[in-house]
Amino acid sequence: MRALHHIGYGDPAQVVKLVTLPDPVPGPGEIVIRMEAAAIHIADIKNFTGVREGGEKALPRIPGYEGIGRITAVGPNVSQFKVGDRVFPWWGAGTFAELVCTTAEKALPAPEGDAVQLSLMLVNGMTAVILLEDFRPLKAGDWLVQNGANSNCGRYLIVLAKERGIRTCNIVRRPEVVDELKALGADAVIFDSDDPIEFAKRVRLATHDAPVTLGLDMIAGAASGRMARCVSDGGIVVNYGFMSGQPSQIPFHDMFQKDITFVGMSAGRGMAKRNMAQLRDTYAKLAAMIAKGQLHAAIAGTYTLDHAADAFGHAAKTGAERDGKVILLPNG
Amino acid sequence: MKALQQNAYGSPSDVTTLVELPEPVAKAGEVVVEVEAAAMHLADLKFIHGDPGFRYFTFPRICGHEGIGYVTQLGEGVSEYKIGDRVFLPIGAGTFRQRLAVPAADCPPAPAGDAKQLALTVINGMTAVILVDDYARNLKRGDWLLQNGANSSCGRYIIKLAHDKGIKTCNIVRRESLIAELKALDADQVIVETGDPDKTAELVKSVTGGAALSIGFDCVAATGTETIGRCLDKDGTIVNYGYMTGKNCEVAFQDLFRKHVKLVGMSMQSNRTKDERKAVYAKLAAMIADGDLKAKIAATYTLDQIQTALAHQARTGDDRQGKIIILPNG
Repeated sequence: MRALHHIGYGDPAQVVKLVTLPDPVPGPGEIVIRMEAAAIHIADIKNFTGVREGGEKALPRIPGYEGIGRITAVGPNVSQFKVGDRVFPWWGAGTFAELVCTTAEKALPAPEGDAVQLSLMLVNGMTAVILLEDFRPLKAGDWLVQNGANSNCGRYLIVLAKERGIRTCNIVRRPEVVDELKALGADAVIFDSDDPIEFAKRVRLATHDAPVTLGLDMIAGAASGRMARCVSDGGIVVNYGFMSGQPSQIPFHDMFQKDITFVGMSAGRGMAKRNMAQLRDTYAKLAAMIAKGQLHAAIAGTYTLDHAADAFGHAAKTGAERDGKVILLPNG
Repeated sequence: MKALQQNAYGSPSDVTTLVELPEPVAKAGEVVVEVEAAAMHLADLKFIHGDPGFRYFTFPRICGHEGIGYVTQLGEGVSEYKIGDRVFLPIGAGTFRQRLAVPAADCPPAPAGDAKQLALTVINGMTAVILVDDYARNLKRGDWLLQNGANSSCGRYIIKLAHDKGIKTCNIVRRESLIAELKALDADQVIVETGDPDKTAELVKSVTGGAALSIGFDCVAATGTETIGRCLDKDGTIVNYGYMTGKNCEVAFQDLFRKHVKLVGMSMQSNRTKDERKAVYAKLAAMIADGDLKAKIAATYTLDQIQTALAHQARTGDDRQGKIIILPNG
C-alpha cells in the first residue's frame, strides 16, 4: 500500500514522502480500513513544520488525525465489525495512507453519506461540542462570541449552538462569508477590527448590549485581547488555536477588575472528562448531523496521495486562498 | 489649603498643578481628615497619563488614591470618631491634599505607628491579602507560591503573608542585589529573571526541587506572564494584577493547550462584606504598625515637591528603591 511518511521537521514538501509499505495484516482485535477520505488540519501542518513545541513525535510516522473508510480485513476476536462496514478510526490512527490498521474497539461506526464531509467529524465536531459544553453553561437566548467563525469548527459551532438556542456573534475577516454563516444560523456576523474599542462596539451593537460571558478565540495574538475586551465582567475567553502564530496578548486593563478568565482548550482534555459511552453517543449524533447535511463544511480542495505536497501547501494558506478544508482521498 | 489638581490627561507637569482650595467643611455624616501621609502608586501616573483603561475621570480632580490622617472636624451625627482619631482614607478620595471631607462610615480606623508605612495598607495591603487568601486559598502548608515583581511593596507583603500561613514563596526579581533583602523578609527562594521563559522556568524548577506549582502572581505582564505560565504545572493559574512593563499579558499556546494553564485578572471586588473588609484592614494595620509588614520607602516628598515625586515614581529598578510617599502637611 501507499502511505505518507513524515520523516523530519520543515517544509511539508520536503519532510513528507510518499512511500510504499507492505499491506497491513490485522492482529487480534484489529481491523484494516481502506481510507476513503482523510481531513488535513492546521495541526498536521504544524506537526510537519515543528511549530507545535513540546509535541515532537517519533519519526518516521504516518500522519493524519482522522478519516473515514471501509473495513477490508478483520483480525481475530473482532466482533464489533465485519468486512465492508464503514468506520471512523479513532484519533491519530495515521490516516494519510491507503490502508489503516487500527484497534476495532475504539473505531466508530460511520453512516452512509458524503465521505469528504464525514471525514471532518472527529476533530472539529468534538472540538465544537467541548467548546460549547465545558467552559460556561449557557442557556437558550444567551450569547457567545467567536472569532475565526468561518473555520470549520466555527461553522459547526454556529449550528450546534443554534440547536441549543444559544445565540452566536461571529467575527470574520471577509464580507463574502457573511451570508453563508447567516444561512447556517449565525445570529450576528461582524467584521474584525484591529482597534479593540471599535471591535467591542461592534460586538455590543450586534448583541444589543446583552451580557456575553463566553468568548472563543482561535487566533491568539492581539485577537485574544480583543475577546477579553468584549466579554462581560466575570466572562471567560477560551483559546483553542493560534492562527496568528503569536502568543495570546491580553491587556491588563481588560483583565483587572473584570474578573475575566483566559483559558486554553484541548480536545484531549475535554474527551478525558467524558467516558467512552458519552463520546460514542456524541459522535453518533455528530455523524448523523453531517450525513443529513445539517453540519456542512466548506471544502477548498481534495487531493490524492500523489499530490499531497500540493494539498499541504493549500492547507497552509488562509483567507480567500483556502475557502474551506483540504481533504486527502488516499485511494483516489 | 494645597492640593494636586489634574486638569486633563497628559504628562504630569503639563496637566497637574498645585492649587489653593478653600478649607473643607464636614457635612452631616462626614469628618474632615488632615492627611499625614499619602502613598503614590504606578496607577497614579497611569491615571494622569490617561492610559487605556484608566480614563474615567471628569476634570478637574484631585489626585491620590490612599492615605492616612487625623480627624480634625466632625460633621453632624458622626459617632464613630472624635477629633484627633487616626483613620485611613477611602480608596480614591484624592489624598494628595492637606485636608479633605469624607464620609465617616467609609474610613477604617487606623492604629498608632509610622504613618509612611501605614499609608500603604489600603491598596497594597488589601491586594496582597486578596491574592494570598482568596486566589491562593487552595495552597496548604508547605506548598509553593510563585510570583514575579517580588520586590514591589505588594510582593514583599505577599512573601510575609504567605510565610505566616506556612506557604513557601519562589520570588522572581530583576536584580541580584535584592536576593538577600527578600530572603531576610522570609522569602524561601529568590531568583533573578533571565529574560527567557524556558531558562527562568528551569531555574524555578531547580530551586523549588521540582515541587508542584499550581499558582503564580504576575504584576509584570508581557513575557513576565508567559514565564509564570511556563513555570506552572498542568492546570496552573496565573493571576495577573499589574503590568509594570506597560505591555500586554502574553500567554503561549503551548502552555494553554498542553498544560491548560489559565490566566485570570485579579479583582478587588472580593466577596467580603464591609465588616469583613474592616477586619482585614484592622489585621493589616496591626501588622504594619508592629513592623511585621514593612515596605521599602524610596523617598518622601511634600506637596510643594510633588512634580519631583511624580518624576521619581516614573523610574524603576535601582532608580526607585521602594515606594514614594507624599507628606501633604510636611
